[in-house]
Amino acid sequence: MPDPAQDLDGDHAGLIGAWMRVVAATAYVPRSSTEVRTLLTALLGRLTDALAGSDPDTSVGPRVGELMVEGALTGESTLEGSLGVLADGLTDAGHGARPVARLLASVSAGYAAALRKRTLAQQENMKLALLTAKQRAERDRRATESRFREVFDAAAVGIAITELDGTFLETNPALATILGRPTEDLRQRTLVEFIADDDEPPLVVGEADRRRVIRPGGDTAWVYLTTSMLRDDNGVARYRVTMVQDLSEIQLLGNQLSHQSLHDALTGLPNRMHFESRLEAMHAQTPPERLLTLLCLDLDAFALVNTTYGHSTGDRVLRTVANRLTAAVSAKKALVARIGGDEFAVLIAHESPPPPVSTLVSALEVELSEPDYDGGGVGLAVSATTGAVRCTKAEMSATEMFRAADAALRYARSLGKHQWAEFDAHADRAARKLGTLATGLPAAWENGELSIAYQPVVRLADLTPVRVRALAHLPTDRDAAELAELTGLSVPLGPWLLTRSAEHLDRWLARFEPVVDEDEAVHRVLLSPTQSADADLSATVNAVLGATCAAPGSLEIGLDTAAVLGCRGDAQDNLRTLSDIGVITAVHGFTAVHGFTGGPREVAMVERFGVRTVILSDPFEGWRPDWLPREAVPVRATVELIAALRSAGASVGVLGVRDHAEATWWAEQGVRTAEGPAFGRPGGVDDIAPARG
Amino acid sequence: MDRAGADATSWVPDGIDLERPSAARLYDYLLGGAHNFAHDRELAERFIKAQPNGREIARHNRSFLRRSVLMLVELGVRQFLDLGSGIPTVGNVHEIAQTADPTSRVVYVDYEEVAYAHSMMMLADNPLATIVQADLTRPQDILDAPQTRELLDFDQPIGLLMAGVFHFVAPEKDPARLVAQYRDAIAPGSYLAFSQFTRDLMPTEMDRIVEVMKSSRDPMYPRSHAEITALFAGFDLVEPGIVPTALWRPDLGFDDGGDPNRAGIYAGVGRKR
Repeated sequence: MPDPAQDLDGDHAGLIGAWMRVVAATAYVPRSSTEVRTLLTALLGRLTDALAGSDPDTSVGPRVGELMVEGALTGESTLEGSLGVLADGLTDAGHGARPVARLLASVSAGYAAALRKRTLAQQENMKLALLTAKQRAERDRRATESRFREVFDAAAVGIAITELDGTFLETNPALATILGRPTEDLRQRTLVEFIADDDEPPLVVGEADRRRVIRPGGDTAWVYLTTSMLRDDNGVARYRVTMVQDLSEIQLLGNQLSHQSLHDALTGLPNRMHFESRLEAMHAQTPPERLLTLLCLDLDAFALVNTTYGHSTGDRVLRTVANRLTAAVSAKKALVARIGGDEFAVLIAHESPPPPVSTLVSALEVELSEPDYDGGGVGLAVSATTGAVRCTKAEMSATEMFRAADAALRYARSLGKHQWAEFDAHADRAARKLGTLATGLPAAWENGELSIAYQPVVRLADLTPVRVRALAHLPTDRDAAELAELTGLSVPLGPWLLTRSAEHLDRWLARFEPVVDEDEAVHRVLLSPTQSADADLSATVNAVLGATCAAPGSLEIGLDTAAVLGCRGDAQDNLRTLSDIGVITAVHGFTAVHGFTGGPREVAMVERFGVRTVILSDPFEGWRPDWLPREAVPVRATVELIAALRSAGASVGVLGVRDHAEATWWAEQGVRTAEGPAFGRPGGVDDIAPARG
Repeated sequence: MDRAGADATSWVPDGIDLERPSAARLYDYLLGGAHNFAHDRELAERFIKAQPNGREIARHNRSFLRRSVLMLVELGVRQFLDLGSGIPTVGNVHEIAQTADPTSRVVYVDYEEVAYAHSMMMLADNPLATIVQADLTRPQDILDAPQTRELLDFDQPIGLLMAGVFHFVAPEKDPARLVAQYRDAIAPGSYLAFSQFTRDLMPTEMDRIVEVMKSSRDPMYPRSHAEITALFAGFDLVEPGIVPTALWRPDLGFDDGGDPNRAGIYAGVGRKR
């Protein structure tokens, strides 16, 4: 297709050029200049055609105007400039001024109509766009607002949105609760009306302030107030937001937290720490002449309840005990606390002369012994061992009272289950000394102050040393094993004693071999109850034997009688295993502090386990047997016991023999070995006298 | 205040004032469009008073956008990310690119609500063009937008267009880092077409414009030739470098007889290394 501009003469080419410049200077046309030139040439063609005929086509002008708008020739002064160059160019080309003027007038009319249409369409689009944007914004705003509303209504903190002068615009339910008024009552009122101290300086924005608010009826409540400003887009403050935090709520929460830290969660009773401070307080508040009674109760065999019925039953028992103790003293000025796993304390501040301690203890025991049935129908009655102390506040401090009751409890426990004891100052002093030593033991061991000592064991028949007993030795004169048993150090002390003392086994073999009978041990170790029950005992002994290459029979290991009989831990297995290995087994503690000794069960045990040695310690509780009448029942019983044990195949040894006279007495009864002051105190390896001859 | 009382929720501030004058609608007005409101036209009149050459500046900038897009299409670029696209008035990127190749894909980005709504309407039937409402000073929002990821392949060259928009980015927004974030997201061989107001060409008028625009949603920050050159770090500038818009590969058939240095805006195109 030929370029229409080529069809025009030079004047027309000049006109197109001029028009192009107008367009370029006034309008943005999203086309190339070539495309625009083509458009202008086509438009000019239409105009010259219209002027050529004698009867001009009146539709041409408006159409050209329309096409100009469609072609984006719509800069602010594009029409004006275009009409100017067209008028000049067309008249210069010889067209009459009047037809040209009429034609261009119709061009501008068409242009105006088209531009108006376009403008209206664009405005319509923009209105639609604005509406859409507003709807979107509104939707977003509503979503934001409903999220806010959720927070506002559900907040535990009171929130007030107020005018800048403090008039409530909106309040949330929490605020109504804090102020103790329905939300409707807050309308159009100001926050200041509810503040008690209106002479206080005004609230500082952004800072928390403690104020009192007035509730209906005139009472006040402490609150924390925090205000902030709500600003508009221009940063101008429009509203005030005040957060109101109820301090009494915080107080309550704080109380609850402290209750939790001071109380036992299971029973709700004060815990040990809290009890001590309450004891202190009650002690201080008691008038000087009034008596205080403190009972410490330890539930008997509670571990058995736990292992037999499970911890939930155990927990139930504890709660029952807590309730019953509380109920038993509810009429008194008293305090019940759970001071340990299965230990409770009852403190009574007597307001009149009290009944004897025994009456109180019995009353509590009766309460506790009532069986407790749970849904499963298992009836559990508990008993307790009780330590008691009664005094005025001048006699003992609160701390001393607690310690005294605890000491009495420990004493009662040593008497057996279901016992009670009242604090005895003399007994306490002795126990306290022991306690001090016992607690010093771990440090002594840590510091290497603990050593091995040997005590000679003699054959009573010829008073010849035939073996040694190894002991853990403290620089004081107490047997460390006894202390260890009190502190829990006992278990590791057993292997230590066995292993360390076995280092000297060869020496004892060499020393005693010439004198001992066949199958007789040269080395004795007596284990505490805990050590006797130690599951690792036989492994330790095996390791010791492996390390020394000594015959098992050169070792004599004594287990605690009570531990074996009471099936404590692995004590029975240990006794059996040691015997199987070939170690000379012994039992000791035959004359325990508690109760009858040498009873049928003990003798039966000796027979059943093939115990080789039975070691008696102080069966006459400090009395010398050679000074006792032979017909005295304990003497006769002991003599018969020795005979019975020998007939069961065991040899009998005795500890603590004071002198040769006593040794002779024991020898006459058929006792084979003895140790004690008569034959030398515990000493070092080199203190053991060399073999005679 | 007429808010107290019945409408309990109305204290929440209306976040957006849709009728505040916007730069996008001002631009449309200067180009002869009617996609604007009274407030915009008011601002436009003040703009023209401050810079009588305002319409020419707009026209030259729009022409630069058109010419640069056409050049990129010629160079084989078929996807465009147009930041700060504004109101789609005459001669939009998708029209230019899709006229040259109907498979061209365009993602427009504008943060202004009305521009976004309007673009959504205009592009409703165009599956290869879309708009993301986002702030160009938060590149990750744009680059991670699902529309962007759906339409643009970042392994292929992209025409990154920032025509007449960066003068709205305050220096505190760290413009160099912003450009770099976009640059790092696009493949080597991609292009950046960039134009923005400068004080270098007409300082007096520029100062007056800055003053006028302070009252709009879009205050202005003109930049020097050197500052703009620095933004092209990592790009190789194509000829003729950074020049007034009217001098950037002009269509010589459009001779308006004006002084090209009065174009007010510097423009340049760079190719990512």
